[in-house]
Amino acid sequence: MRSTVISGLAELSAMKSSGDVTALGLYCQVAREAAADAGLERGEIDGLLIHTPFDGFSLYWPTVLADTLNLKLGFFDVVELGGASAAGMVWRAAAAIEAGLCNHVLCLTADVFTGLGGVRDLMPGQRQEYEMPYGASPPNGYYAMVARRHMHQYGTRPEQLAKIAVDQRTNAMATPGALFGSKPLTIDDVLNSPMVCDPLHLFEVVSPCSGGAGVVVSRRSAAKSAHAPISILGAGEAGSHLNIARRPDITHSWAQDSAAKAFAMAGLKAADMDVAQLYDCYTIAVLILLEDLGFCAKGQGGAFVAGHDLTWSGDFPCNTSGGQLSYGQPGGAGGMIPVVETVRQLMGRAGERQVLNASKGVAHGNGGVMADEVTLVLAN
Amino acid sequence: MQRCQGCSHWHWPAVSRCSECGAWDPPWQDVPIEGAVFSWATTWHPFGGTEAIGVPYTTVLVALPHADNRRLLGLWEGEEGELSMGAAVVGSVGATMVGKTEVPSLRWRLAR
Repeated sequence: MRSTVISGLAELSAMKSSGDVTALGLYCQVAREAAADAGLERGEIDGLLIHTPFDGFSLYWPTVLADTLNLKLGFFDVVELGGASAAGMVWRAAAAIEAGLCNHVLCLTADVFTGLGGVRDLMPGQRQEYEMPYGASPPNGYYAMVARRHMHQYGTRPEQLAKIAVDQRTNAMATPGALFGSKPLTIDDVLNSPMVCDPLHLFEVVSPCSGGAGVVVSRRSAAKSAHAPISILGAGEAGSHLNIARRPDITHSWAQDSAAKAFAMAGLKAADMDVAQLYDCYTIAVLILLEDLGFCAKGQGGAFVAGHDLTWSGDFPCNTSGGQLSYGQPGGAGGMIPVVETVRQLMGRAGERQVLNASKGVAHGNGGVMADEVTLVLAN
Repeated sequence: MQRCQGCSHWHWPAVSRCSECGAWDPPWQDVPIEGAVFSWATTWHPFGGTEAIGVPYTTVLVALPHADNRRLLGLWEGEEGELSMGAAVVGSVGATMVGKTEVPSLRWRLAR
């Protein structure tokens, strides 16, 4: 993938409501902003990858979007890996460019939150037949079970998980557009917030919202952005199952495999990263990804979090835009937050929260309940 | 529980074809509804689809020693304070309303 780069980005503010604007409308806005950021005219865009929004889920979404934007495409598709879709788009776009199919691929996500009922109806049948009758409301109940098992096996403590939410809130306060960027959190705030799914508290759970984000993947020789292009040094993808009951050990995830592939491709290791943007639907997801990507040993995530400052100015900058926990989770677009923020940091465009001398970063997407995993290693 | 006639692999959720060896229609075998607690979660906030259960409720993940420790979800019928990792439990088949449909569902309690 050395002949491809990420040449532009766009991210809409997180919104509790998008008013009359549909997911298609948000997609169009993200597309225009991302193309402009990459310095591209409409006619130069010849690739499109999207995640079908929960709102307005239907067939032929890439075609509908191309039609709406009057794009002439040589490569277009849907990437459906839940929260790993966005990261999955990036290497697919790079592979398509290297295969000679196209030169500039819009990788886009956008969604409008209209309630959880629509999402539930899109779940696979096995969830509705074998999981819902047990009250295992996906995914809250499953992540709570993972957290409890991690606490049992490794002695992880609630205050360690809470610190992840606290540090990410600090990051959100330096991020324009964050849904929860106005008020700091303390560990006591998190632990005293209502219990949603024991042992996970309200502030350890993402808040659904509306929004959108995307990046442009370009052939290196054709990139026109005014910003320094970002190299895709490595990518890895792994997964095999949906139901948490099938995992041999629910405190390990396929992220171990996706990260191993990505770092090997890049010729780097976790310790070489200057920033880490990790999918964070729940605090326990961040903790497990820290372990599985190799930032610390399995079971040491709690101690790692307690011993490091995860804020943008700290010794381990992580989820520097606040992550989904504090920026908000705009449906399928939540998975684009780690990608966009890594690119923004490596381009030196993070403003107040810019991590000094950031040259290498990892962006990780996670779909389902630690099921679909995609790791990207990026550099400037 | 389904157990493959070709490779003896236990399946849950149910399948029409074994994911290990490809045999069709793995037959069902009676398995004692007893096992050990692997994890659990107590839901305090009502989410879509589970309104009929009523919060708070506890969902348990139980490993079945008679089925190669395959894990099954179920609703907990006792007090949450009774739960501990590895605790011996027994189950029964109850029913849960999911929307307007009554669906069979496992219920677990401590083995006495």
